[in-house]
Amino acid sequence: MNSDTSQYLTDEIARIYEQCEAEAPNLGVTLLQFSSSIERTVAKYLEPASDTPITTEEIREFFDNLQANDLFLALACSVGNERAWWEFDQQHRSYMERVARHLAKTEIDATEVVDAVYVELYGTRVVDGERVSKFALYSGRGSLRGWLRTVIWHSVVDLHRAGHGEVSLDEMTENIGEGAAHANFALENPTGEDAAERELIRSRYRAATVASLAEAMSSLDAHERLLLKYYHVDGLKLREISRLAENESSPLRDWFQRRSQTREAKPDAKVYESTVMRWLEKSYAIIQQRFRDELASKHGLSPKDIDLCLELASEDVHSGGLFGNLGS
Amino acid sequence: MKEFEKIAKVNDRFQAIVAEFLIADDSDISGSLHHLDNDTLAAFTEGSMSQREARPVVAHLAACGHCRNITVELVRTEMAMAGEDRNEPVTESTPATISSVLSGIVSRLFERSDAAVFAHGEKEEEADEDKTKESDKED
Repeated sequence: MNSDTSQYLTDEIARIYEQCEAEAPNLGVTLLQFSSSIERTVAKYLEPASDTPITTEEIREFFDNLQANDLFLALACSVGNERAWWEFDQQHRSYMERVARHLAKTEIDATEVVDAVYVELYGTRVVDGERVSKFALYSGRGSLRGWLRTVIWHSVVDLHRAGHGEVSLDEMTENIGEGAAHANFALENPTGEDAAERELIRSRYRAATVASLAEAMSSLDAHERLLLKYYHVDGLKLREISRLAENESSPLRDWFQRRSQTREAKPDAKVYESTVMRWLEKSYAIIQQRFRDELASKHGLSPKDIDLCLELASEDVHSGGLFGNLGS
Repeated sequence: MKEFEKIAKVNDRFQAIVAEFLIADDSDISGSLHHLDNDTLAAFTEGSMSQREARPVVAHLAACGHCRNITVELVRTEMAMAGEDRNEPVTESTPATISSVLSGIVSRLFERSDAAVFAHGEKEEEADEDKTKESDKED
């Protein structure tokens, strides 16, 4: 970060601090606490995110997204300000209870979860003579409610892991790859020379298909791969994906619409299910083109051969899996 | 094979192959990665990250089923809660101090463990009574 950007960062922190202080004068947060928190976030997330130095524009974008009042309240709570805790309890407790009830199985679980989260938020661990409050981990990059939702979600999962042994994060993760781990090639039982030859051809096509598809996938940008995984692996509905990109400043939306005329004309246009469908179609268009190019150029296959590849791959997929060894 | 809404303009067969590839590609990868923290997961789910910050996060999520799964759960929870939020009742509760909140929590925790001990004691007493009755009968 050059000196101009650094100065801009310092000035903005002071300006935002003044605003927060004016809106909530009794919370007892000092400028030093406020600036330390923001500088930590910049050092942790903005600086290592790229090799290029942080620009003033990037700092501006960072502040545009910052939930300054939420951060101010969280900092006040982290140092144990009574007024801040009262505000927090008034504003967020009922929401936390509803989230916990939604996620937990029973009312008792929900209460347990909220209690456990409150204890964590207050902090029971003391390091170097200072109580460590979980609030100190909130950076103000998303809303405080969004962060609380995530904390509660983890707490619910931990409660089940500890008490019931039914749902664990590991199990959840394993389920993602369900069906893939034990998938094998759909080998037939060839008998005789003809069958052996057919199988040889089939194997060759299979290898070419898998290699070309892997190459095609690697040509996608990360946000395109993420979109496809949300859709195909996690089963997110179009409506749910559109929610992820709903925020005007969502980077997903920026990347997908960077060349869009609609985006230029109406930057705040809503992201509909049909919008997400178009993003999927675009991603597929890239894969398909790259896949065919790979099969033609690297493996010397004709359009007819490529169709045969797809046909055989499709048969393999339907009869038990084509990519059995991919994840291992 | 997972069921999903079909993308109209893309060949069904190709979609099924791509889906299978993505599922296979996703397995066993999460264990080797450093996972995203609550702060990052929440900010990403709300779409409130700058592009610079989001780039490594998106790359991580595209590779890590564990973290992606959490974002999926968070989006679904947020959507489910959205309707409820609109009807959120305005509560006029008494002001809570840290100490009152925490002491409430502590007493609830003790109530729970007291109840468990009491219930356990009750059973033991009942069992003792049963034993006495049985020995009375034998006598």
